[in-house]
Amino acid sequence: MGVYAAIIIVIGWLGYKRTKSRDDFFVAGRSVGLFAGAAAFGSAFVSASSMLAFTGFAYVYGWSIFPARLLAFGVGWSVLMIVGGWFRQLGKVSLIDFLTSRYYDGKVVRVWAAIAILSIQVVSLVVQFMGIGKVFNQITGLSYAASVVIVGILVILYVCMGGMKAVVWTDVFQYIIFFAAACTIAMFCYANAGWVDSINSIIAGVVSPKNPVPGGMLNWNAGLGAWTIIGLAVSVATQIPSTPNYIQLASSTKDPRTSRLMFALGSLLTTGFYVALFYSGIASRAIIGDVPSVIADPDTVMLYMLRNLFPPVLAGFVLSAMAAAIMSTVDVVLLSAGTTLSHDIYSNLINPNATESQSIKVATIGTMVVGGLAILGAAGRLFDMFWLGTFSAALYGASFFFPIILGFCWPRATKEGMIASSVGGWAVTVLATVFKQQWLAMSGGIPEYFPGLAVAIVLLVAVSLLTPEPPERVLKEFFPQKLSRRNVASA
Amino acid sequence: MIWQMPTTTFFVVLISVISGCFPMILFLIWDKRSKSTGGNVRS
Repeated sequence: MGVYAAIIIVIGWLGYKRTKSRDDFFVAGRSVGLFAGAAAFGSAFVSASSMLAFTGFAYVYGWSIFPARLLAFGVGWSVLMIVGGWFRQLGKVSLIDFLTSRYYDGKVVRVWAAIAILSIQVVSLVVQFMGIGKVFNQITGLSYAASVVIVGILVILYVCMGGMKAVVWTDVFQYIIFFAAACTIAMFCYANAGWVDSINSIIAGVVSPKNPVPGGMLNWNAGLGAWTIIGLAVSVATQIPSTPNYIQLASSTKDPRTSRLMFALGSLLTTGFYVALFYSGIASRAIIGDVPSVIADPDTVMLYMLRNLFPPVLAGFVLSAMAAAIMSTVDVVLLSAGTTLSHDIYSNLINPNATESQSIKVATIGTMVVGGLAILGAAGRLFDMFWLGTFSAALYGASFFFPIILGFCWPRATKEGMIASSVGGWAVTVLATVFKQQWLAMSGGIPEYFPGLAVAIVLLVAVSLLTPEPPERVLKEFFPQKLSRRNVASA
Repeated sequence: MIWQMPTTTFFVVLISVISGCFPMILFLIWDKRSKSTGGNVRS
């Protein structure tokens, strides 16, 4: 325990020494080079919580979602690569900035986008805090709920006291740590269970409560059903180009070409990481078999392996790296939530003449409220991290995917259409997820992520066609070539 | 009856290469096209 704590403190301190403020990140904007950018994308894409959730999912469901998930990543990354180049070409700083200028309504679009992003950030923070609870439960022996509450409150206080100078690890450093941890786990699994064909021959005999057929882990759907697999793939493919962090990253590169190449390279790096995670999760089933506590909470499979099978020093390294990495992710999301609340909602809607100290106060209170909500959600432990992560992905896709894509490709898309689409997509996804059982029964198994996407595209097109065309200044900024072609034709 | 996926080493490597390299291949095509159109490919 003492060794674990010491390693955490050392890694935390190293992280602190190698930090830069969020402001620095923005000021440094427009100068991010290729490799720093690709590593930043990699470390934004993978989080320690996703390490727990992914390996847990593979432990239970085997190979089932491997092809669909990876191909969905490929599609999502490709769309992000194209859209990221466009974002950089336009020179907008953030997703909210893009939406407000493309949909030419300062207030309503900005406030709605901010509310939607905040709500999704709360969900993704719950996932991160669950990761904190599970990792610290292993490290300190405190109960899961106590770990969430105590460590969670410490993180929030630390972000609030550090104010807007709160710290993030440099992305390259964080990515190397992640990659080292994933490779360590994968190599350990290889040493104990062999490569793909060898683990397959072991898991072919596995029967467990969630795969009630022999060889279920080799089954193409492992009892999940085709619709669920398609739904997971679509929600991931639409989420990737709609995530504000990646768009911000695209905007801070040197030029559009660097932005595109950065995502293409980042995808190559990240694929290796996810293949290692999938393989480790499935191999762990071959190594430890059916462990009742892990079957009950699959997210803990890696933690179980680390605690029971790994040499203590190696386990200490991986656990500390995970703990420190989750904390650094939480820092960034909490900070960004506080900033969104104070900048986009408070200063825009409630008090346009806010002084700097008022804004900082609102950001601090916002950070506490958002963090507090996430701690409550995580301590309740009502969901698997994997499904909760997928829910937040589906919300990003339903709220922003079509307004972004059509915003770039269809001049006729109007602000009324965008607001109807984004609000409708968000609300329908929330409803379909809350009433998942009823929805699945009613629709014959169509995943709960689909109605939100369908409503989003239908509303965007229909409402746009029924409302007046966007003003000329929008066409000038976003579709200069179309506008000049039209002028030539009318002359 | 279950239909098993051909999860061999070859299959895993193939899927990984396709999804990992797809954005890069698209980038190369895009880059070539954008050079021939003077850098602006949108609209």
